[in-house]
Amino acid sequence: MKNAKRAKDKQKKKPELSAVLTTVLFCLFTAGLFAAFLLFPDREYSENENRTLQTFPGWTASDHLDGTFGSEMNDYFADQFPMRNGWTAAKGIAELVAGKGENNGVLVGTNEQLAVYAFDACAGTEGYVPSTDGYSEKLVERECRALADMDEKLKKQGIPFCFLLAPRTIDVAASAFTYPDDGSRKLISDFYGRLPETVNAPEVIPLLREKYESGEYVAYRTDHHWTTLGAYYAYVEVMKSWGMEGEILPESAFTVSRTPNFYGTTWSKLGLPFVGPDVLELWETGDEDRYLAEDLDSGHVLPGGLYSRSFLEVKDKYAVFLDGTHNRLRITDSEGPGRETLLVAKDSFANCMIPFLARHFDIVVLNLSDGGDETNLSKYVEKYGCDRVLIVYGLENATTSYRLSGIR
Amino acid sequence: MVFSSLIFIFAFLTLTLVLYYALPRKWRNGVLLVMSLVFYGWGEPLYIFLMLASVCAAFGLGFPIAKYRTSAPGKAKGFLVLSILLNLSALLFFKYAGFVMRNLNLLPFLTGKIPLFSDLALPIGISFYTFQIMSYSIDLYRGEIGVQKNIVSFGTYVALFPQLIAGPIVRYRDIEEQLGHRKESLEQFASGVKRFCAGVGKKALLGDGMAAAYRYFTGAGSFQPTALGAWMIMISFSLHIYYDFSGYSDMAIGLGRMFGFEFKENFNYPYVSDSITEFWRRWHISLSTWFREYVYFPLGGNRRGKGRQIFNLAVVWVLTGFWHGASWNFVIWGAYFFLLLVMEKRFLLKALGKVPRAFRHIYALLMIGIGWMIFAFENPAEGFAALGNLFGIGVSAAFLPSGLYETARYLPVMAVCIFGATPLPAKLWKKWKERSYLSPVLEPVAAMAVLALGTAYMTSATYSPFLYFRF
Repeated sequence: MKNAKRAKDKQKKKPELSAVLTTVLFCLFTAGLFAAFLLFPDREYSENENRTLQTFPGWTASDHLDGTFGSEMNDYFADQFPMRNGWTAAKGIAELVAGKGENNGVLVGTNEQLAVYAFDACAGTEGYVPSTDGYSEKLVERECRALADMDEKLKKQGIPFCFLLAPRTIDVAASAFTYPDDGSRKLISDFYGRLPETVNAPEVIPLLREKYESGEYVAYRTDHHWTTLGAYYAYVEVMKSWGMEGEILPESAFTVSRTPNFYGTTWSKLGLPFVGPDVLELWETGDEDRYLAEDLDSGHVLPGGLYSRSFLEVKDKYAVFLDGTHNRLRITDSEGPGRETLLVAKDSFANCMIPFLARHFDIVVLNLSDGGDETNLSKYVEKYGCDRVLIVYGLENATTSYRLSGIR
Repeated sequence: MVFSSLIFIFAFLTLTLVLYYALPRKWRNGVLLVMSLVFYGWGEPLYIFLMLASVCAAFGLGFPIAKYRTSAPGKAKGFLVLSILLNLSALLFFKYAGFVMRNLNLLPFLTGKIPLFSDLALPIGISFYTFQIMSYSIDLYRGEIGVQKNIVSFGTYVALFPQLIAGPIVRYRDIEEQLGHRKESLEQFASGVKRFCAGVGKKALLGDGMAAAYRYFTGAGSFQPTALGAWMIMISFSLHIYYDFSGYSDMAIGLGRMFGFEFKENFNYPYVSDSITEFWRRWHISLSTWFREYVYFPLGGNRRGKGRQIFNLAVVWVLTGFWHGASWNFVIWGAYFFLLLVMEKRFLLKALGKVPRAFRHIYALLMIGIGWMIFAFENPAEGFAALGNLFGIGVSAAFLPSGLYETARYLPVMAVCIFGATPLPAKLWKKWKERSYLSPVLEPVAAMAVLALGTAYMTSATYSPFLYFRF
């Protein structure tokens, strides 16, 4: 009897307990995190995300009226939210548990190989379209035509030209993923198919893919660039294409210094802390100090020359090459004047390749990824009296930016 | 501000709840009004004045409507028409002027000679609050409600942040009593919390997941359309819009309960419908109710003969379509449902009654899905092309390996979404609750787990606005 009564009482109390607990937990959770937000000091920079965080926006009437204040406050709250990285990681894990096989457009493959596979592809004249392996054939056509025109123009002036298409990680490390690689193959063959055979354009992607499959460290696991070894292979191909085989520096000419704990851009995008780091290699011959790099916009000589070693101490280690992004650089050899001048129009893939080329040429470097007039190659060829032209451009930029199609 | 944002849940809601429950009861509507204006002004600092003007106009004109409705109905009607015109003109101008001008501009003799109003941003929630305000004026004229003499209470009704920007469209008569005398309780608060958490889960975990699938397949389809891709566009959009919008309604209803309000349900498992007629009784119920009450019935409904009924239906459905957005695809979408509903009324329902339920269900889902394809593509040409792709017209292949890969990737979440769109999970949950002694503890913990996971997704998410915002 007693037991039955107790059970009945218990049942009566059931909703009440649930309501109390729901209310208490909810208030603790929301008010607790709000209090933590108020108490924790603001952070100005997120290393994981490689960007400055929104700090408290000052209030002005005009900012408020045009909605800037509201949207900056939203960003401020999200950026300074307590345990931000923990929440992001929890979401990433949930995505993997839900069987999505990726997070934030980054695939996780065997051996912790990461690769971005979702891009915002240019879509003709209509802007951008989210895409994994779709791309605008019109854009590729325009780029190939621009390259062919460039080639023709330079041929008339007797200036050797080379175009090097740098791969995306997904193109090189395809074997690490279950993601089908037919899209990647179609894009690459389409690109080379549209490029006239007369254009000197060594195909380095199949080679790197082969190297990757045989276990060589040509693509970072956590960054979208090729490794220094990958860049070395590209350098070899470029030199060969110009008939300069004899001058290629063999691998044995370099001593390799390794910096561990390199967490690249793909790792940041993925946002899962348990994926281990890469090793960043510098290939040196010991006489690097003789090469001077001057920023043509500011006139400053980069203190470290080809390598800005202070970046090896921070997260963004890839910026060790040529001091990160400079729109216009000029590299010269302080001990060897009278060398050929090479114009390199490029995106960031060239940064770790240029130290190899600097041993043969004085170099004018144009960054194609900025919005300036760096696409006007002819102007710079004339201005600096360049003897050769090399374009190094990543496949990702080729499908997600209009810049390459504007070279002239 | 949107509900599924960190600043809303952790800062705004916390502050509002503290103020609401810390201050004396007589100030509670005032707290809600002030905080609702902060909520609205966060993203629309200028249009807040437009909303306030609409509120004041309807509030002020309410007095003569109430005064004359029995003694001089003609006069009352005049004031009603004035109130409706004032309100509607803001909606018509801000929502449709650009559309009208764009289309007039296509006429050769007008091209380039008229203002296009292309910079005119649509005030958030204007479609919703205009309809709410109109329900007050019309019901007042009909004598179904008493005049509201307190501007704070009336302002609270219109601007109440839980339903301000994406519904449900709450009719004044449904919360007339609650505005003046509502009694908050712990049970109601807790049930509101659970409902809100469920809404966060639906929107942030499932709806946004389907939005990602939809974005992928439309993106891929714009380069290489495939039949598989088109089916995935249709399914992912159907699930996305349901979880996004009904999740939002859940959040609104939950938030309402936290402050002692009971709003009517806005969705009732629309995808279990066996016909389009049934679908529209289960989808966005507050909107169809509004159109029935304030357009269809006043036009005579079905009481003036079959021909007139068809005309009335046509008006209601073209308007319903147009309400969703100032673009032709929405008009086509409304007309499409008008045709289906007339066909169902005339013969289709009878015919459908004779086939097995599974077929009726497939018919309804397919028709709803085709509707969403018209709805999703603002450019009707693209929408029709995507519809063709469903049946292999204009595709480059039946499927691509990458499309197959993506389909497989989304399959688990899609399965959860489909299961969750039926009443089954709720039934199972209820059964478990009745049996389990642990449920009073586990249910709150589960609600918090969903909220925490939603927080993780919100933290990580790039901006993902609610679909129903700009309608």
